[in-house]
Amino acid sequence: MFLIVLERLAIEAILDLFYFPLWWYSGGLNWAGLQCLGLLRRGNRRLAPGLWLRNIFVPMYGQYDWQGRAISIFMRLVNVIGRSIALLGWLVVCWGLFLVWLLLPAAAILGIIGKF
Amino acid sequence: MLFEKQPSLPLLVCATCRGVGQLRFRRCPECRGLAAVYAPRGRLLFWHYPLERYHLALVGARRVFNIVRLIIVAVVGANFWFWAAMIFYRRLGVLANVSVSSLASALRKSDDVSVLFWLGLLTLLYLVSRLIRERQHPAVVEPYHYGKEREEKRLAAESWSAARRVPSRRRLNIALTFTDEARAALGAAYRLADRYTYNQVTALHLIYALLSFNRISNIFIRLGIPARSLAEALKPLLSRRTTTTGGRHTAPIAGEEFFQILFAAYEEAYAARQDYVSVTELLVAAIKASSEIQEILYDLNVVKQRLLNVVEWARIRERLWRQYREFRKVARRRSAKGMDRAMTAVATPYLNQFSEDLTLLAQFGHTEPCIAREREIEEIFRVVEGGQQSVLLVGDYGTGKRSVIEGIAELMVAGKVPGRLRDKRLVRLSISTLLSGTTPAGAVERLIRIMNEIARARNIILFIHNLHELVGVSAGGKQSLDVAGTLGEYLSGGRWLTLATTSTEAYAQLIAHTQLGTVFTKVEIPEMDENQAIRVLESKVGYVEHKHQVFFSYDAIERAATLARKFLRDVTLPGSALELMTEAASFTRSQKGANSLVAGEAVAAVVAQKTGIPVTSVGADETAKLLDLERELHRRVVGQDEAVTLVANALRRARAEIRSTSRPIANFLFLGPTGVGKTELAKTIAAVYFGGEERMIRLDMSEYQDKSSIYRLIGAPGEKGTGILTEAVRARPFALLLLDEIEKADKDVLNLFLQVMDDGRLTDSSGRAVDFTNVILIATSNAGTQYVLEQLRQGVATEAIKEKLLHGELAQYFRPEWLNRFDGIVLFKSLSREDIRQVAGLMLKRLARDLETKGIELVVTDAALDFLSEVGWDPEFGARPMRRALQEKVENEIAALLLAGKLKRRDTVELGAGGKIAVQ
Repeated sequence: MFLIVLERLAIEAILDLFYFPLWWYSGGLNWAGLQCLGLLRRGNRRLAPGLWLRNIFVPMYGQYDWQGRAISIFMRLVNVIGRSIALLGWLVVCWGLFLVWLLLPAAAILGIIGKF
Repeated sequence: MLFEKQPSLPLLVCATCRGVGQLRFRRCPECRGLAAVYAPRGRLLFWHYPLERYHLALVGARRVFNIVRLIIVAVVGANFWFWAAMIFYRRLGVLANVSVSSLASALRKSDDVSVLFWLGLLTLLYLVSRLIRERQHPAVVEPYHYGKEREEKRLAAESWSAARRVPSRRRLNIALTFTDEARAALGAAYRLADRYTYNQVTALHLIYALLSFNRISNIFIRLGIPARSLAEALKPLLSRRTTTTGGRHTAPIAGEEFFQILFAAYEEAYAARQDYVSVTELLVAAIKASSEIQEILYDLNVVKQRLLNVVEWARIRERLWRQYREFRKVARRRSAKGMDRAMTAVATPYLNQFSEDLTLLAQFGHTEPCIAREREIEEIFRVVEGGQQSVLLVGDYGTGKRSVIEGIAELMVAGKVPGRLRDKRLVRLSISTLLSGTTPAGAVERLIRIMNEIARARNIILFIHNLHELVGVSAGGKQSLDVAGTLGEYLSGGRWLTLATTSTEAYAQLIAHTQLGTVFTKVEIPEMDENQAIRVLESKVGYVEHKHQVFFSYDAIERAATLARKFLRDVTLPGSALELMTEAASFTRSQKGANSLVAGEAVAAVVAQKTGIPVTSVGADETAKLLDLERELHRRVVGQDEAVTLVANALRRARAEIRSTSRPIANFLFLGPTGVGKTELAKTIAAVYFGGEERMIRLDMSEYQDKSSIYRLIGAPGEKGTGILTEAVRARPFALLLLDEIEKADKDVLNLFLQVMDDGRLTDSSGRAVDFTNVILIATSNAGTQYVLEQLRQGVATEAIKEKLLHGELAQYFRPEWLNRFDGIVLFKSLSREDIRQVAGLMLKRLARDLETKGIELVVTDAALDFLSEVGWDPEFGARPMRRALQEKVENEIAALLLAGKLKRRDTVELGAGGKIAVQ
């Protein structure tokens, strides 16, 4: 029994090595995509430029006089722009991570092949 | 109640591979690896996890191998990089001076280094892929569908050809939904069957194997049974080996019975809305499948409901933990500075001085989760969504109004609330801070400033606990504006949402029909029922266990809820039960030390201590006493056998809990002439059964001869705690209630007792119901005595006299329906000369006890007793003349001797013939 099990495990281990690249670009790609999407969502929740845009004419800190409103609109505009840029940056980071996932094994293989 | 037998599921188990799914190393051609199938809810559930030696050995080895592989891969990857770094460093060292150009040239020359580097990277990527794959759980139990069955095409799984045609998106391998632990338990069960040379794995093997898992042994500990003793009880069954066929042992297989358990466990998880099938579901399914084990459990006092409740308890703990972790994750993202995300809010420095921010407290985990109040919270949300501005929670003290509010605060932090509550702060106004150090006028001013600030802030939900405390704080004379009026004025503006709480009583008296009352929408928070209270206790028990270092059995929790509901009526559930649980924990800790189990008896003992009601199980001493109660009573009461037997039987029924719990323990009417022992019997019962004569509530009904005296019994209207009867019973719910000379009371007063005798409750003037179900009610009466004595003199039998008395004489005093409420009406007989002689003996014994404290012995001769019974007997007046005779003939003389100094310590007084007293 012991030997049969060992034999089976050995075969499985070898097959798994061949399965690894296959998984990386199928199930693994799916997993990585979902992770990056989650990361992006979290960034959006934190920066929330949309929420600031929706409230663009609502004065900040309850300052309802016209000066307050003016300053508020300006500040909100600055915020919306700043936050949008930050979110854009974050989007780039997320894509970057996804690309790393996509390219890393390929780069490794090419790196090895290229030297021979 | 025994467990019901699980109705067997329509399974199809492959006969070719016998449920293994493969033949030797090939997939079974008949079932194509489906092994066993069941098709509910338009899905094809199948079992692909071969339960046979080779596969289980492979699974076990694979678990170890996976760990080894991870380590090897990590080491190999690290090695690649280590050597790459080493070689690169050496080569750099060869070059004399390190500069950018030298670094570049070193890199250019190092083909081998980059190959090593890339290989290392590849290896580590493989490691990452393994880690991710191993952490992914392959499948979950299908989501629960509420309401009617889904209108899906029913799948037919009557034959393998039909099952094979089911598309793969409709198939689910339920083995993948089993947790690792559950699968390990299946493997252990199989190995057990193999070791005991069974040919089939059975429920018995599974349960025995499950007992070694922590989660399961915890369940049995909660039921008060150590897993080891249960295993001992099961062991004899194991060695019986009934399934071996032909006397030859082959490798065991999982038969149809075992597949029933596996699929039933899945269905169990589905019904309980679990994501995975864990060992607890396996346990429940296995027990349901085996009547033998049910019998054993039944002997150990484990019935279906109790087991299911404990399993549910384990689930509650897991669910709470999961919710807590999710909650913490969300809470971290919330602003701690009281600002909403869009920064439209305004800071509220003034309000902050008089309040605390509940959402902030919840965010930092200082609130407790709210359990079993989903319906009420939903109702509050409905009111809020309906556009109402203010909600008032009305409920008695201890029902958990505050806990509902804290639950809402947590939901607000988690963002699971209607839009109007989202991204807001729930702020509790502290009434004591508001009112302290200022006049009512000052308080009104503060309140106005606070209200203005709230209106400007726009993100405040105001919460006022005990709203009624603000009512009556007046700024001037009777007609002037008070704080509540100011509040009402601002709230009616409806600019922000307010939640408040008050008690039922205060609502009726102070808030309903006032301006405040019209502003609020009332939401009632009713007292919890026992099951809800048990759920609350289960959720809070962890904290109490941690604090007192003890463990609660399920029995203790259940009894805390039931006994609190029954006997601690002053506080409502779950408050009363929580109090009881905490006390039982410290009681057990002090009695048995740390790490001991709080049993149901400990809770009962605490209740018995608090109320004096014997709720613990009957001990050996008490059994003997109860069985011999008549003799105990006769020690003080002479004759009157009928009454004594009647009372003794009632007490035994009460203690053995075979009585109606919605009436008093017993209602008796004692009739008879004066001095025959009616009151004495009542006193004796109080002393013997209730633990002392002071446990008797005695009302002389001659004091209640007019209608207005009702208010003395139940309290004057609007004044709390003034009823003599209701307050006495509230203070001592377990007592004897003696109504002396009942015939003298007014008719309306008598009617009051109709309800007491029938329902075991009486409502006092302030509307609170007082519980009379642990009371023995005894009424005594001299009514019709003259008639009785006459009849007795004529020699009529007692039964006949009683019959006539009930239907004739008594009718002028009591209405028939009133008499009918009694469990027993006893006619006390007149005392005979022999009885009187015994009474004299009892009275002299009491005198002897008094003298003994003075160091004097009293000896009573028979002749003296004869003499006393001669002098002190009067059939019309019972034992009272005897008391007088004793006073005149004996006590007076002894007193004189004592005062004259003729009687000293160590003297003996002998009472002789004719009442002569001799000192020796």
